[in-house]
Amino acid sequence: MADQSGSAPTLGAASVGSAGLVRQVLRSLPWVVAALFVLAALLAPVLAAYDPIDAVGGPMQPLFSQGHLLGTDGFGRDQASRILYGLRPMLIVSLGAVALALVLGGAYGLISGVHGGRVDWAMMRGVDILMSFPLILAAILVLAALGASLLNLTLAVAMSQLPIFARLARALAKGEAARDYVMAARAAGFTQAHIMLREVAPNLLRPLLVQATSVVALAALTAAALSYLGLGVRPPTPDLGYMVREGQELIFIAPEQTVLPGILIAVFALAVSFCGDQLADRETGGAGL
Amino acid sequence: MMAAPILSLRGLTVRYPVRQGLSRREITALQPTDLDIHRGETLAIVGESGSGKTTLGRAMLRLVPVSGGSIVHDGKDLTALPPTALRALRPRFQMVFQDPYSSLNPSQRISTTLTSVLAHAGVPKAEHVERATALLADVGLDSDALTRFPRAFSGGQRQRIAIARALASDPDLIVADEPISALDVSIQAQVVNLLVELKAKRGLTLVFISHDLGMVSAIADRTAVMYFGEIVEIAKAGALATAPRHPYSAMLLASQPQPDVAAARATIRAAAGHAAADLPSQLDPPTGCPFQSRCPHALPRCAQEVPHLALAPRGGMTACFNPLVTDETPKGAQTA
Amino acid sequence: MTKITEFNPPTAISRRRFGQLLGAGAAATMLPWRVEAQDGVETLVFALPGLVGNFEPHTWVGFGDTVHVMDTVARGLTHMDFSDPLPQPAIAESWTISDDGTVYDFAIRPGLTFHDGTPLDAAAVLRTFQRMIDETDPTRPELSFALANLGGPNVLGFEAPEALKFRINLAAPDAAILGRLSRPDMVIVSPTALEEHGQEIGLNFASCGPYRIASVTPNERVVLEAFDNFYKGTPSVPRIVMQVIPEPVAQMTALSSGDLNVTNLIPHSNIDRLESMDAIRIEQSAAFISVVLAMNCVVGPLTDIRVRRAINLGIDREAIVREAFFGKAEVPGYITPAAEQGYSPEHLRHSVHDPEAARALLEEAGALGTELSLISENSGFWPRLGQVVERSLNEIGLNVTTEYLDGGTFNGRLFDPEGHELAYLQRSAFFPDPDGRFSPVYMSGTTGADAVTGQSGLPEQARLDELIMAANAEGDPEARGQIYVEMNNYMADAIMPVAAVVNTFLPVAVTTDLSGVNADALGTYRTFLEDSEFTG
Repeated sequence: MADQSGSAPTLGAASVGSAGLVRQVLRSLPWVVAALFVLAALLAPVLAAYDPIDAVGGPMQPLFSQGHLLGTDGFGRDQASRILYGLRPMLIVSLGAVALALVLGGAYGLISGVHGGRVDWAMMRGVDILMSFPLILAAILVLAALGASLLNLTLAVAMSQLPIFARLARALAKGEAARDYVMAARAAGFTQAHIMLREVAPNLLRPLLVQATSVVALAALTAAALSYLGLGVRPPTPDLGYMVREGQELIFIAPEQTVLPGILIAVFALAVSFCGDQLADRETGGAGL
Repeated sequence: MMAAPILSLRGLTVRYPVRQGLSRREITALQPTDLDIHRGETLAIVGESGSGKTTLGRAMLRLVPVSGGSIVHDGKDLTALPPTALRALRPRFQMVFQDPYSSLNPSQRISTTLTSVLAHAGVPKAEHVERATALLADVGLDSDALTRFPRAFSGGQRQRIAIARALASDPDLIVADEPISALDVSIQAQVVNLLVELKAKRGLTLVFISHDLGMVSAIADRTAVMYFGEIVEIAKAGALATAPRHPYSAMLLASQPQPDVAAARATIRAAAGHAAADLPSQLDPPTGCPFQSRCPHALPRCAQEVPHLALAPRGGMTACFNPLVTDETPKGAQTA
Repeated sequence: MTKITEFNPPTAISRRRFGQLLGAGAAATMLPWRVEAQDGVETLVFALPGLVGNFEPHTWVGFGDTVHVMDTVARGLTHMDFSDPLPQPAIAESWTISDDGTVYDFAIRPGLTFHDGTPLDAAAVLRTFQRMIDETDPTRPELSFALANLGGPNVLGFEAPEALKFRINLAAPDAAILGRLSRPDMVIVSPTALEEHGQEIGLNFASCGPYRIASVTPNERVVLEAFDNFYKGTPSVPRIVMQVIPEPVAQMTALSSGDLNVTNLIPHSNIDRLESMDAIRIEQSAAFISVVLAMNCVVGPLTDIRVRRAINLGIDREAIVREAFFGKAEVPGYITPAAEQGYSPEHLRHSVHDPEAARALLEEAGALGTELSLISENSGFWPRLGQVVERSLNEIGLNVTTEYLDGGTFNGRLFDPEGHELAYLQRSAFFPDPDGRFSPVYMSGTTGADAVTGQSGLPEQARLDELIMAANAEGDPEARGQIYVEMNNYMADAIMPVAAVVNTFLPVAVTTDLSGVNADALGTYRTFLEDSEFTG
C-alpha cells in the first residue's frame, strides 16, 4: 500500500489520480464530521434560533414548520435548538470521560506495570473485578450510587472505560520496564517516580492516545445509553440520548423526534470510531481506509 | 600492598522464582560468588549466553534483586543500604548496555537524556549544555546531536551516546555488558577502543562483559570465565588466554574463530562427542560439577561433588578437580 | 406570553407508512404466544408489563402483573365494578350490618366451588381470613399486609357461625370495609390448596374467580381458562392469554396486527392515533388515578402555609393536561376525583391557576427565589409531568429543581421525612370508595401524614382525623358523601399538605371485535374481563 502520510498528496491531484483523490476525501470525511459536531456544540448559542428549554411555539409541529426547521416537541420547544444544545452533554461526557479514563487508567496501569510483582497482581485483580461487570451495568451502579448528573455520568462512563486504559498502560509499561533505558535510569539513581513519569510515561502516551480516540465512540454510545435510561442530565436540559427516550412513545406520530437524535448519536460514534481506526492503523503501520 | 577493591563481592547470589505449572520454583542465575574488583583495572567477564555473566554485571550494581551475599564498597554493604543512600551512590557506578536501540529512551532528545543525568549528579543547570557538548565530543559526536531523538542515529552512534550518558555522572566504575555485540563488525573495534581510551583518560575501573575470550584478552587485566551461573576460572588475562586451567576455559578458547585447522577440527570432534544439548537445566541442576556432561576430562568424582574455586597450580583460581596443567592449551581438548 | 395551540395529531402519509412498516416488522418477531391461539379456541390476549409468577394475594410480589392476574382468577366477598359507588355482592350474595355497625354477617352464595373443586362455604372463607389475622398460621406469608389493608386493629376477628354465614367483628364502625373487601388482596383462596401448598400458595394458586390458571411461564405469559362454576356463570371468552409485552411501542404494533386484544399500558400521546385506526378502539375510562404534589410541612420554607398555598396556585394544571397527557386527563378538584363519592364541583377552587396571586403570597412570606427540591420517578409520564410542573413553579418566583429517580430510590426518599421537600404522590383506586384516598394517606399515624407530608403534628390535623373517622362511622351513603365534600375543603383550606396536580387514567385500548371490557376498572389497574365478548 502506498504511503498515506500527509506529505504524499503534494504531488498534486492529477498525478495521484481520481481513485487516490476519492480515498483522500473519504479518509478526511470522519475528521470533518467529528469537527462539525464539535463546532456545532460549541456554537450552539449562536446557531440555535431559540432557547432550548422555553416553550416557543405550539407543541408537536412537524418538520419544516414555519420558524421551526425540525418542528417542536410535545412541550412546544424548538427541536433544532434542542438538538444543537443536546450535542453538548454527549461531547462533554464522551471526551471528558475518555480523558479522565486515560489519565487515571494510564496512571494505574503504569504503576502496576512498572512495579510488577504482588502489587501488579493485586492491582490487576482489581481491574479484573471491574471488567467482570458489563460496562453499562458498572456505569448504572455508579449512577445509582451517586445520582444522575452530568458530572456523575462522566465519572460513570470514565469508570467503565478505566479498565481498558489500565490494562493497555500496564501491558505497555511492562514492555517498557523491560527495556534497558529503564535500567539505565535506575543506574543513574533516578527515583521510581521520576522513572515512571519522566522516562516510561511519555512512551505510553502515543498508543494510549490512539486507544483513546478509538473508544470515544464507545463512550459516546455508553453516555447516550445511560441518558436514554434517564441516568444522564436532568430534564429539561436537552440531551440527545434523553431526546431519543422522550420521543420514543411518539414514534408513530412524529418519528423524527426520536429518530433524528438517534441518527446523530450514531453518526458521531461512527465518525470518531473511523478517526480512531485511522490513527490505530498509522500506529501499527497498517493501512485501512 | 594493593589498594582496597572498589567493589568486593562475597557470596553474591541471584535467584529468580519461576512458575512451572502450579508449583513455584527457583532458578539460580548466579551461584554464590566471591569477586574483588580492583580500582583502575579492566576486568573481563566471559561466558556463553546463559552463563550468568550479565546477571553478575547487573547484580554487582544492584540493578537486579540480590538474593544473598554482600557487595562492599568503601566499607559499606550496598545490599544493606536504604534506597535513598543507594540512589545517592548510583552515579558512581554506571552501565553500558548491549542493545543501544533499547538503552536510549526513544521519547527523549539526547539533550534530555544527558542533562537529566547531569542534573541528578548535581551539575548546575547553567553548565548542562556545555557539559553535554563536552561529553558528546568525548565520544566523538557533534553537539547538533543534542536536539535529536535516538531514532536519528545508527547503532554505533547510539552506543557512543550511551557511553556519554554513562560518563555524564562522572563514575568510578563502568560495567559494559557486551557493548559491541549488537554492532556492525566494522565499528566494533572503534567502540572498544573508545572505551579503553576513556577508561585510561579518566582513570576508570572497567568491567567488560563479553563472550569473546580472545578479544577481551587484548584489553583486560584479568579475566573471569563463567559457566552455569558461577565463575569457574579467574586469572590474569594473558595467562588465561594462553594457558587456561579449567577445561571449559579451554573449550571456550578453542571455539573462538582461529586459523589453526587442526585445533578447529579438534574442537568440532570434542563438541560432537559431548553434545551442547547436554547443557544442564537451571530447573533441574545436575549433581556434581555442572560441566561434567560436556567435559572431556571428567573424573568419577566430578559426578558426585561440586568443585569450588581454588588456587590453580600455576596462578589464578579455578573450580575444577582435574585442571589442565600443560602450556599447550588449545590441544588440551584433544587429550580425551 | 406563549401561545400554545391545541394538540393536533399530525397525519402525514409518510409517517403513517413508517409506522405501519415498523409495526409489521415488530409483529413478525412477536408471535410466540399465538401458538396458544392456533387450536381454534377463542382467545383474548392481554398485555402484562411483567410477570413474576407468584400470586400470593397477601404480599404483592409483582405489582402490575399480580393485580391483573388476581382480578381475573380470584374474587372476594364483595365486588366493585367502578360503575356504581356502592359495593355489589360477589361470593357473598348479601350481608347484614348490626345496628352499632360493628358486626357484619355475610351470606355465602350457595353451590359455589373453587377451581380445584373444593366447596366454597363459610369455613373456607374463614380459612382465608384467619390467615390474615393469625400470626401463627403456617401458611401466612412473611410481611403479610392484608389485615392492615382491611382495617388493621379495628378488625377484631372472624367467625363462621353457620355453614354459609361468615362474620366480621369490628371494634368501631367502618363504612369503607365493604369496599375494602373488593380489593385484590381480599380474595378467597381454596383451603385445600392452602393446606397442600402452605406458603407456596402463590405458585399454586386456586381461587374462585371467572378464570382458572392453566399454565404460568414467568416473564412470558399466563394462560387462563374460563371457569364453569363462577358465580356469574361461565365467561363468554373461553381463554385468556396474559402476555408480557413491556414496551408500549411493541404493544401498539401488536394491537394493530391483532396479536393483542386489550392493554392499559399505552402512552397518552398515542390515544388519538390508535383511535383513528379501524381495528382498535380506545375505551373511555373515568379518571380514577390522581397525582398530587406532596409538600413536606415540617421542613424549611414549606412550614409556612402561604408558601404551600402559593405552590398550589402556581401549578398550571391546564398545561399539564395538554403537554404531559396530550389532553387525556382532567384538571382535578382536590383529593377526591369527580368519579367518586365526596366530589363537588366547588372543589375546583382548590386547583385554580393564579400565578399573580401565588407570587404575591410568596412575596408576603418572603419566599421569592426560594430553592426547593422536588423528587419524581423517572419512568412513565413522570418526566413529562415533572418538566411542566417545574416550569410553572419557577414562573411564580420559586427555584425548583427536580430530581428524577428510579422507583426504589424515589420510595426511599419519599418515605424518609428528611429525604424530600416536594414529592409526587400517585393514588389509584383499587375500589372507588372515597375513604381509600384519605385514611391510608392523610390520617395521623400513617406513613403519608407522618413521613411524606409531615402534617401529623400540625394543630389543624386533629380536625381532619376527626372527619375521617366520622365518615367511616356514617352508615348512610349520602351523609357520608357530604362529609367527604367537607373533608376535601377542610384539608385544602386549613392544612394544604398536598397540591392536587392532575387526575388521569390508564388509556385502555381494545380491538374492535371485543366488547364488554370494563374500561373504568382497567383505567385504574383493576382487570375484570369476565364480561368480555368477541363480536366479530
